[in-house]
Amino acid sequence: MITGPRIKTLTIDDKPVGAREDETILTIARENGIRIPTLCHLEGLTPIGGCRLCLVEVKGIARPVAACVTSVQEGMEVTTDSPRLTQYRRMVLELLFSERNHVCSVCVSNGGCDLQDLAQEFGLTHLTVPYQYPRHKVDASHPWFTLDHNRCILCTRCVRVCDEIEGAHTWDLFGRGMQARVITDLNQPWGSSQTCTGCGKCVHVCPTGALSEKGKSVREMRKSREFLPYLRLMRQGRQV
Amino acid sequence: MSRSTITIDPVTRIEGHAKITIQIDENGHVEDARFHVTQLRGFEKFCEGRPFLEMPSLTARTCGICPVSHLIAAAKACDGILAVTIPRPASMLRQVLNLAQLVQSHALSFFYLSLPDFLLGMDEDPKVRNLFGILAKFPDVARDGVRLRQFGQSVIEELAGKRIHPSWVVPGGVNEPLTESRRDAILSRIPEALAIVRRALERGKRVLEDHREEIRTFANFPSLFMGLVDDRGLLEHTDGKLRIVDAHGKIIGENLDSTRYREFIAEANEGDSFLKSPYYRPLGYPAGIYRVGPLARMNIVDGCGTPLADQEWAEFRDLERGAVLSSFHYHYARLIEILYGVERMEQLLLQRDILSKHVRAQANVNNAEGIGIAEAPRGTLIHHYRVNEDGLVEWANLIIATGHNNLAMNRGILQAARHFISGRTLTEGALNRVEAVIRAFDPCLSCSTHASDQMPLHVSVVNQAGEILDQKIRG
Amino acid sequence: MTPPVLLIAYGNPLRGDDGLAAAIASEVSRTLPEETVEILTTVQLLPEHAPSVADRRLVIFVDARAGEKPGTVNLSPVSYPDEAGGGAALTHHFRPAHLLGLASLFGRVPRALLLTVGASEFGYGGPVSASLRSALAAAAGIVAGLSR
Repeated sequence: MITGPRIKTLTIDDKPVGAREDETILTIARENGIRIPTLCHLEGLTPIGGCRLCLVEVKGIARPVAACVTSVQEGMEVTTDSPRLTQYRRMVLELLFSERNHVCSVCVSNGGCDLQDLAQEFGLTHLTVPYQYPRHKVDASHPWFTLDHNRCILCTRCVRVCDEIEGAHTWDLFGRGMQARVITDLNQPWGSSQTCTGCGKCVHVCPTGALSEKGKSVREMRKSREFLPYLRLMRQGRQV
Repeated sequence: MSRSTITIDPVTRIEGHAKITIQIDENGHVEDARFHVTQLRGFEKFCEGRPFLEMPSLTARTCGICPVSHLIAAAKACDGILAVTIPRPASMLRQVLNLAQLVQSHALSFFYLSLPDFLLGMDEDPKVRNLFGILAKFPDVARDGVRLRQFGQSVIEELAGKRIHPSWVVPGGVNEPLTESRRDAILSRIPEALAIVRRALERGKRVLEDHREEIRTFANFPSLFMGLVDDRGLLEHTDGKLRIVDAHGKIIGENLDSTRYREFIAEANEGDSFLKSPYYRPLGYPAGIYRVGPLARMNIVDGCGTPLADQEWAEFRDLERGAVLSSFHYHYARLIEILYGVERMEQLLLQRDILSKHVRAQANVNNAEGIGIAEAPRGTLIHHYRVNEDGLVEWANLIIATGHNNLAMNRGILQAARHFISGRTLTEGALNRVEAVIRAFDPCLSCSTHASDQMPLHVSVVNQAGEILDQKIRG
Repeated sequence: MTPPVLLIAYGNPLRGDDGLAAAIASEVSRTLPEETVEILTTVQLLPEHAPSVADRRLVIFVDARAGEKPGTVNLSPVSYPDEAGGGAALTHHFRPAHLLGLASLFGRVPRALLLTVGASEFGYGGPVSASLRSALAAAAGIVAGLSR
């Protein structure tokens, strides 16, 4: 006898929906045309619930939960939008902007940046928390790509795509708190990396201008991510 | 009578923040006059560590009035780092953009900022001495001013988009070719612009002639002149090589290699101003005083290279035997340059390959150093970068047009102050003339959008003990 | 065809309530067809706006005002010269009356009205104050009514 995943019923923003028990709130919301803002999440990569932008309220649970990593449960009542959630999301964005030197006006990804899009969506024009102005160097040692820590939000999309899809695991996280940053190999210049295949997937999944192609001027970097779900499917197909 | 100091702060109807101090000696004679720029912006410092491809956009932020000039000088410096010769269509498109910027900036300087002085009189009440005074008495002139500036801005928009800081000019060329419809849209507006500038020149020449006293005393002294010329020695704002002439109009530096500008330009820092004071190195400081900008350009070239402007240029150069020395003639030179700009734009836009798709050369970092020189409306603009082997900026030096003129402006203020100010009599007209000397150079001081118009002008006469003996507040 | 009515909403949307004019403009654009009213949103008035002001049936300037009681909507006629005179105005202090003055150079001077809404929060960032919502709707209604 084959037992498939069980079906759960729940409501999202008062809309009754049905979901497989192994699905997340985010997946089922998207399937039903309900938009939940996300930043670290990317279809095709393992969700980590890192950025906290997809926080939603679940009736009976005091604290909001991250929709990208919370599985559905029978009878759940989910709210995706409320003044409290908006305030939390704004604060998340403000903290991201304050932590590094995000200067959109001179950025390669200006006009094509997930962080900037969200800031515009939430009407974030100024910060209520002080800027930290950390000193971060730019790693332009790779022949084709540039890494600018000033624009990195530590979403780890690059780490995940390199590990899960390309299989190289060139990227990783280094340091804690304010000192945390992405590194290549054992904190070596990207250009000297032995493991990097130069495939550029990390550049295209990067939500901001932190990773970009060399030769691109301001506003010229546009990321294309259509390859990701396709590659994912192909890999899963092979594993079966 | 004791020694005293007159301070004019801020200087109105210029772009930026500056003040003037005039030192009066015991006998009431003007002893010294100084022009201070009171802001430090530190652009050169925060460019360090950035990828060089960002430099055009970064440095364009020095100014919301003439970002195009910085874009072009920066892109040229970056072309040098890429070690490319940009495609001819790209070079022509940059030229058209630069000329459009020149036209709109000169139109602002002449019609909005300077004409009120000329048409309504330097002694007129400042409440009336402005664009609206012109509107009341010379409506056709006001209309021409608005239209001409609009023309220049519309050309910039057609080429580079509506943003104040366009990102169309890139290292290696421009990032989009010109379309036929946009080219035609610009061409269709040229006849009106040409008619306006010809009218302005006719009127301008008549009006300027009436200002003999100002011509004689507005920074009228021998100096060197510097600017770019093309390979035939004609007027050129975007490409070309530097030429320096002396007060007799004799060429003393020709085909100066831009990569070696430091051999002939040195910079002095003076304690009381954030504006650096460059001078011609072979003659030393301060004898190496030189001027840049419209007047300088008219003095260094062998001609303009467009039919109408060439006629006007010949007439202009007849004013004096050698170089034209009075800075009051910056205004006149500016008008000829607008004429040239409109004519030259048309010439360029009619070139067969102006619509070519080949507008960008791609390359990696091939040179550790790049120097870009362009003529901004106000004069020669130099961008000089050094990058590491990954293309990150290690050092940057920007010499802005207004900087070149610093020494000349100081000397000019002193000359006008001596002539128009005596003792403690601070007449409105005298003060305005001292300011007008600065305005003749059309300085873009902080390279910021802060037009200080309508700010109160605060002038005080202070003795050595710091007591205010007299003061005048207007605005 | 040039729309008979021009709405000029000015103010800096990055300065709190100063973005009120832009908000009113976007509300108006939702309710009225673009053949009826052309909308110009700008941070500040400029001499170069004058040609597009000329030859309209009506020009409505919309501005948020610090000096007036928050929420009060005021409608007043604009003419040139106004009681403040020509003024030494350029760029940062360019007023509706100035624009009308210059418009005379480019055609018939239109009937012009200035709609102001009193506001208090002009700090950096932040949306238009929630307390101004009803004033915003009222102002948009007035503009729409005038434009028809």
